[in-house]
Amino acid sequence: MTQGYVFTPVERASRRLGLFLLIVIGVLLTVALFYVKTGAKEARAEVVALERQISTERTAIAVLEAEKAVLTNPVRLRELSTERLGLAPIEVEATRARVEVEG
Amino acid sequence: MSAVERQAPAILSVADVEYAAVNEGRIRIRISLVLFLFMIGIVIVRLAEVALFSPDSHRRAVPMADMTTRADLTDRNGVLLATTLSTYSLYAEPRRIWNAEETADALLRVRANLDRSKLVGQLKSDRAFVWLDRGLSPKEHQAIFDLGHPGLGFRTEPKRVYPAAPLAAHFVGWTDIDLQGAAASERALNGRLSAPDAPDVALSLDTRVQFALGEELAAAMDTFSAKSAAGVVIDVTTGELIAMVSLPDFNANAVGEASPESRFNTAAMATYDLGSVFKPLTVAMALQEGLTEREEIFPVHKPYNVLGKYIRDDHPSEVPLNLDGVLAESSNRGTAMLAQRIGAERQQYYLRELGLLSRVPYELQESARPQVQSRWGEMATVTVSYGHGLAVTPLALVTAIAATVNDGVYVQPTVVKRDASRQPETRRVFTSETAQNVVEMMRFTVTDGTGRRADVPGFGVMGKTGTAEKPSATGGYDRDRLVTSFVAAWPHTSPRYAMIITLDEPQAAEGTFGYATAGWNAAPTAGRVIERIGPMLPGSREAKRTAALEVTP
Repeated sequence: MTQGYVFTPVERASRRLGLFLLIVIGVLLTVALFYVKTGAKEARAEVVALERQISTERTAIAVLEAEKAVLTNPVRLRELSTERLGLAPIEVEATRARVEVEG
Repeated sequence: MSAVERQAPAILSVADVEYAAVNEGRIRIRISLVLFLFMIGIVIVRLAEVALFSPDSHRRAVPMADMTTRADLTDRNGVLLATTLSTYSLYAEPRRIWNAEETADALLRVRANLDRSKLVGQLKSDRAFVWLDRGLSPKEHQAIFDLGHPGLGFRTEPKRVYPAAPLAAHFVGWTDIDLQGAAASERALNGRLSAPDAPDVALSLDTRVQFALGEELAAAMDTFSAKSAAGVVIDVTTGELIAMVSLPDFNANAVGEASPESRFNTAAMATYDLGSVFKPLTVAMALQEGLTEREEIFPVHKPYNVLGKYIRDDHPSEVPLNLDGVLAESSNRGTAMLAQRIGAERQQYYLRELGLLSRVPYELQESARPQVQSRWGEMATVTVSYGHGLAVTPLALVTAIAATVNDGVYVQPTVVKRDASRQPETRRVFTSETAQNVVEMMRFTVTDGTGRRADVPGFGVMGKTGTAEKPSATGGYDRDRLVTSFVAAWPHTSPRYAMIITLDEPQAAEGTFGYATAGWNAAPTAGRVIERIGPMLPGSREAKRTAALEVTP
């Protein structure tokens, strides 16, 4: 039987150490990848939630804008200001140009 | 021991058997190991693929409502005129409804306009899916959601909403059910509004002016029992339409219920023989051609005959009048004399340059072609000079008047707010001198002529009345069916705005002494409108002239 190369004890130890280090690096990388991946997933979920929130808020803003426009519709304001406050359109005699006041 | 081995080489020793067994075992282990590693490798590769290269799936989670959009329309000051809201459509899965009557009653409490028997029928049907109602507001959606019926569901749908309705309905227009523009600005600007992520579009309209004009027109229509009314306010320097009202109007949120008459854009679609409001244009043509001057005296107190027909003046002057007087007193005879000097060819040239022989070239489809006589002889030239025999829209006429007072420069009208990037298309029709003369004469018409009831102190109103008889069914004109108009421009010192008020078939009312002519209805209406909108519009007020300017000839 031919004997192959025989490792010295030092070499054997360094081989084991190398293997061990490789395993450790592998495990570390795996764990790091897991964390990065999980973080990315969470961030993505957050983006989705934020996007949904923006969309909801936008819809709500559109509704509020429309409501504001309905409430400030000149026809409505005219009725309210006439009924509740007794306001009427300005008569020209009651107005002056700024130059007239200043000059 | 070695001697024994040599003697019996064919006999396997125990050691050999063990060696072979172990050797075979090793091979099997290696094969298993390779297979095992291969499978682990596949799993790792797949894991890596899933982890690193899987496509983004989160886009799908965004709600449907954002997918169909249409940009808002606002007025020139940012007031919302048209917007898109999500509405809810209600459907049912009848198989999951356990009590159709109870569900129907619950729905009726939220939407009272539903038909109960139809609803019960739908809910009892053996179909898998039925649409019940559409166009529900967020509040109604929540109320039905709160009922907690499992067989009811919603789909969101975009809907166009007009919060300012019925204001500016003819100006803004409306969309069809698929959110495509169907009329007016919605139709004309459809491409811009429906593009993805399109910005909001600001129209040239001023809601406040539109409202004031509409209210005063409605009051005039009521007072004078007119069939319809139209009014347009335009910025003469930019061509921006500040307001355009047609009455009767309608609610753009319920277009289906509006009558065809109320949907008709009278200001831009109805053509009328508008009458004497054409006279400032005729005067401008004559001055431009050097055929007269303001000091010339016209014998308008005498009957005037053209091709065997007498030209009639409603209130004939008893004395000869100069050109200012001809316009201020609205003399048909004087204008006819000018028209004969101008001639058909030059008259048509100017009318074409003023945009009166074609449809108004603005964004909207709603723009009627003028009705032009096929034979434009001397008689036609004379009648057209005082606004008969050429039917144009109120919008077209105010654009022409705007060009005349805007230093003689025609500006293409627009419904979209102008900014620095969008300069108006312009062309010069009259010289500054001609324009200035017409401005002075139109001011004189308001201070001393037929337009006195339109004067508003401080705003330097210029104007011209126009009363036209409508063509009668039996031929000729009907003296009892009038169209009265008033074209105004202000301020006199630096014309910035022009306006037209048109009343269709107004009647005499209290305080008009039996008259139904423009000086008694359209002119005072114009005055009231200017009194209300003048203070709101920049550049409306007449600049006080300094002493130095006063003495300058």
